[in-house]
Amino acid sequence: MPESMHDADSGDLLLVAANDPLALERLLGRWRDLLYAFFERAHEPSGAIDLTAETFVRLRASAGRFDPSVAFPVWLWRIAAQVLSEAPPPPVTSVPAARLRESAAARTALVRASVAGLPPSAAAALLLTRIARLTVAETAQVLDAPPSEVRRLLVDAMDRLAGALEPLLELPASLPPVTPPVPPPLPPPLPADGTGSRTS
Amino acid sequence: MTCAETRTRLVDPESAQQGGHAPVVTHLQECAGCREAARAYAEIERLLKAGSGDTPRDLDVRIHRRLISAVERPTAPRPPAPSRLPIVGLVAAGAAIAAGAGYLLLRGPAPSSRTAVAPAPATVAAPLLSDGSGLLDSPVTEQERAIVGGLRDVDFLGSLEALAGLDPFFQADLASGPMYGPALPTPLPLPSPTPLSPEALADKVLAFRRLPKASQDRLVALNRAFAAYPADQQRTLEGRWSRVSALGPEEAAGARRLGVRLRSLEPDERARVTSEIRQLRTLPAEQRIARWRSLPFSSRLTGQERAAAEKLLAAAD
Repeated sequence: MPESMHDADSGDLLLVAANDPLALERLLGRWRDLLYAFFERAHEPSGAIDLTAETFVRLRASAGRFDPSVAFPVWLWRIAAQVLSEAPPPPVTSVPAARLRESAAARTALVRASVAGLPPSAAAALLLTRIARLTVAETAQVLDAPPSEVRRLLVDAMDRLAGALEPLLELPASLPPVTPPVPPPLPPPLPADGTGSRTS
Repeated sequence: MTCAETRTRLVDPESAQQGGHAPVVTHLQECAGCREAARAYAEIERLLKAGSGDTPRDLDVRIHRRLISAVERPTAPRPPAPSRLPIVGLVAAGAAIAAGAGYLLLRGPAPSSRTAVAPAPATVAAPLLSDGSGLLDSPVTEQERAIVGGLRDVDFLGSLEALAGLDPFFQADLASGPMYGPALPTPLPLPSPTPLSPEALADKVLAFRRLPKASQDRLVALNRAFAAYPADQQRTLEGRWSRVSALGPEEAAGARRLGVRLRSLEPDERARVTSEIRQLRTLPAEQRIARWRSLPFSSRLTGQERAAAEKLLAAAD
């Protein structure tokens, strides 16, 4: 018996196929936040919610075809990757460098737009390995591609992002620690007549 | 090592565990371009992991709304033949109803499910009830009161297939009527659901109004069809529901999966497994579990399913 049969998620998806409402709730509870995070890296929050919901709609619709020999995460993320690839890309964001320094929201928007601007398979490979935390081998299963192709997609994604995020990458990773300024040594007191020169 | 090979190693999350870093380090020492790429990759990783913060509060509500709106219009339920097993006609109808997330609010006081599986998360129901949709603005009519107040627990209706699949674990024969042993609680005579308080009925009506019209019709038809079955058949299923619900949330879920799994077996295999399980019931209670665990079918189950089966076997008369 495949290992996946012993997996609670696989069991619950089988129950979803039998219209068990509680099983769908359990899957929602376990996977909702991670799916949202997956989509939120490429779409603004409202759009990411819609894509998360669409993934669950398709998951439910696919339950009757679920093959228990396929690991549940592969099944789920295959749907999510498909949803991601079909989503219209958000509008291109152009953010002035000064605004990037001031606004975390602006930086987030630039990252989102850059990820969304990747070729769909490269974006999927990147988010599956970084956000869904799949291995390259698992990602290869999801994308139905050999692992070598997944690695190539990852390099492609990273190189493209390095270009798109260049203004962001030039910023310091974090502000320097806040420490009280050390006052310079006090100059020697001036002579009473004010004619003395400051020498160090 | 080439630049391409180096960058392939840099982007592979498992690379750190793979060892063999010496060629990568050597290449980075020699190649300024790859050193720059490595720094950029690390910074991109940090930006990606940061995200934008917490999960939105309305995530649950919007997912459920989408699930509700995605429910396809089901076909009308076929009136079941009274002389046949009641499950057959009901399962298909129950399926479409349960498919709508509105069922969450319609979980009612199915009389034999007082100890039912854990209720739906309150976070699902509460926002739906307070979203200002105005669905409660119109008063509850007498017709609604009669229809909605008489609906059985949707969880119970949605579990009929699973309950039927658990046949080998119960001595009762649907054709001849249920048999209850000393360890099995005898279900109370339950011709109709327990009357609701006015507040509970208002909540139930609101939930009902939120369902798609097709699901409303189907739910009513299903409830009516179930009510038309002979009382002994109703009691058999309600008795099983009572037993399964009393197992606790995890094992009840396991029992439901077990029932579905049994029903999905090929006929020959189902007959064999059914025979094996029924034979277990003839053994002294202390021997049943050990023998059950030795069955090939048992080894294929999840932990929840096995635990549920063992509890049902232990309680069998």
